[in-house]
Amino acid sequence: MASALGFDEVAAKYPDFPQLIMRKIDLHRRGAYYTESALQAVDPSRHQTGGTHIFGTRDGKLSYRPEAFTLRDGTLVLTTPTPLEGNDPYVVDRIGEKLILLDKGKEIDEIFYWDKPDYYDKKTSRGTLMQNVIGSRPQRLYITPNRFCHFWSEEGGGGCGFCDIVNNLKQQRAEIKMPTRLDPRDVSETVREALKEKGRFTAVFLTSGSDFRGKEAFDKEVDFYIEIMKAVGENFAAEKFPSQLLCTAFTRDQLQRLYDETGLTSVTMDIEVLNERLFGIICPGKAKWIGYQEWKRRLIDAVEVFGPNRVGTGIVSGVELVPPFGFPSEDEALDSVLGEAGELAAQGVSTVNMIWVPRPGSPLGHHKNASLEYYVRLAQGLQAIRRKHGLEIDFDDYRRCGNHPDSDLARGL
Amino acid sequence: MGNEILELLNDEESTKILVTVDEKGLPHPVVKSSLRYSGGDIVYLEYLESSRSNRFMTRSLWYKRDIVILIARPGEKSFLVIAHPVRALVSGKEFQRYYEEAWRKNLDLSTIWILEPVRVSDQSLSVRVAEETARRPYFTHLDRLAKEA
Repeated sequence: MASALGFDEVAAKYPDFPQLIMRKIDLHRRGAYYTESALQAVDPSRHQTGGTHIFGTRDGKLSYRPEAFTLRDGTLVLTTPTPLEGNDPYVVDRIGEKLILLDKGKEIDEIFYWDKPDYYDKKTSRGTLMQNVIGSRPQRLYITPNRFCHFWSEEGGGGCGFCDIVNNLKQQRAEIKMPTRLDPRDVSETVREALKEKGRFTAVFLTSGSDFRGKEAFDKEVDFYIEIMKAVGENFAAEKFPSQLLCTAFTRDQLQRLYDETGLTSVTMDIEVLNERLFGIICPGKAKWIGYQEWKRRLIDAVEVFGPNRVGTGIVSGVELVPPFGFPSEDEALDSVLGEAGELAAQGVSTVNMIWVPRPGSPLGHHKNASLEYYVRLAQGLQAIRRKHGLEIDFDDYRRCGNHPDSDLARGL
Repeated sequence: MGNEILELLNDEESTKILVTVDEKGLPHPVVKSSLRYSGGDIVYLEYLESSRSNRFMTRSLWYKRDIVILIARPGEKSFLVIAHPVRALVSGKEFQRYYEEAWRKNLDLSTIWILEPVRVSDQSLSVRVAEETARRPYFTHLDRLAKEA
C-alpha cells in the first residue's frame, strides 16, 4: 500500500536525495494552488501564462495563470493550477515582494515565474499568434505539429488511460483558437523570431498525438514530423541542432528517414508503463498498433540509428499502481519497473519518469497517484541505472526538458 | 563586506579562485575571473554546463554546503570569503543580460550563480602578521625579540 510518510519524514529517510528535487516531485504529485495575490503578481507583459500545453490542467481551466515556475536551483516545476477542494496542493502566495511556496501554511521557499519569450505576442505572416505555433519552457521551444491523437478514434484501439489530449484540444480550439495541425511556414517563421532572442533557448522539442495512417502504419506521422523539422531546420546553419522528438515507436526505416532527412539529434518513444500486462490495459491503442515487445525492439533499433545517449523512453509513473489491475504494492512496482529500465539501459535506452497527474479529462483522472517515497525511490533508481550503464541524458535533462525528476538529478549526482 | 573587498572583487586585475568540493570532500579550486559583486550579491558566471565546478556548486546548493572564494592581488591584499550558493539562474531576462556579456567574449553561458557571503576574512600577510603578533605571542622566534646588539 502507499506509504504515508510526509515530506520531512521522507527527507530524513533519504538524506542523500536533494530536497529541492524532492519538493518538485511533491509539487508534481499534489499540484499548486495560486492565491489571488499570487495571481495579481503575474505581469502578462513579462510572465508566461498557460494555455498552450498539449495536456490540460488539474482544474480544467486554460489561461491567464502562470504557466509554471522555477525553484532556486533553476529546477522547473511543471505542475498546473490545482483546486484546493478535494486535493492537498501546495499554495503559492505573494508575501512582500516575493512569491512564496507554502505547505499547509508553512513557508517553504521562494519561487519564480517564467519570463515570456519575446516572440509570444507576435504573429506569423499568415496571422497566427506565434505562441499558438510554438510553446515554450524557459530554455526549450515546444512544437506540437498535430494535437489530435488517432488512438482515440474508432479504429484507434483506445487512448492511454492517463491522457486528456483530445479533451484538452477541444477546449483549446474553442477558447484560444489553437490550431490542431501546424503550418510549416508558421513554424519556420516562429523559430526564426525565437532565435533572435539571445540566450533564450537551448533545445527544439517536438511531440504530437499518434497517427497510424499511411502506407505503413505511422507513415503519416513520420512524414509530418519531417516536414515540420525541415521548416525548423531552415533557420539553422548547422545540419544537426540540439533537438528531441517525442513520438510513437517507429520502425527502423522510419527512424532512419527522420535522422537522414532532418536536423533531429535525439528520439524519445514513450512506452508509458514498463510492464507488458499493464501496457495492454493502460495503453490499448499502442498495444494494438505496435505491441509491447515490438515497442522495446524499436527503442533498441533507435539507438543504432541515433547513436548512444540519444534515445529515451518515458513512463507515466504511478499508473502502474492503479487498482484493480495495478501492482499490489509500491515495492513490487519498483522492482519490476527498475528491472525493465535496467534491461533497456543495458542496450543504450534511457528511461525517464513523469509524475502521473490525474487530470479530470482523462479516463483514470479520478484515481490518486503514488506516494512521495515511491517517486523518490524511482527517481533515484533510474538515475543510478543510467550511471551504472554510463548513459548521458543531456537531451532530456533539467534544462532541456525539466519534467523528469530522475534526469534532474543528473546535474549533481 | 567592506568596500575594499568589493573593489577587489570587481577589479579585473584581481585573481579570483573558487573552491568547491567533490563528492568525497576533495577541494576543487579553479580561477573564476567572472566572479564579481553585483546588485548586493556575489555573482559568478559559469560558462560550461559540464564543468566540475558547476556540478559541485549544484551539490552545494542542494545540500547547503559552503564554498570558498579567494580574492587576491599579488603582493597586496587578499581576502577569503566563505559563502553558499542561494540561487542558480539558468533562464529568464536576467540570465539573458549576462548571456550578452558572455556572447561578447565568444562564450556560451550555463549558469549565473548567486552567492551569499557567510564570513569574510582578510588574508593579506601584513594583516595576518599583525593579528598573530597580537593574539598568539608564543608563535615567534626569540631572536626577533632580542635587543639589537
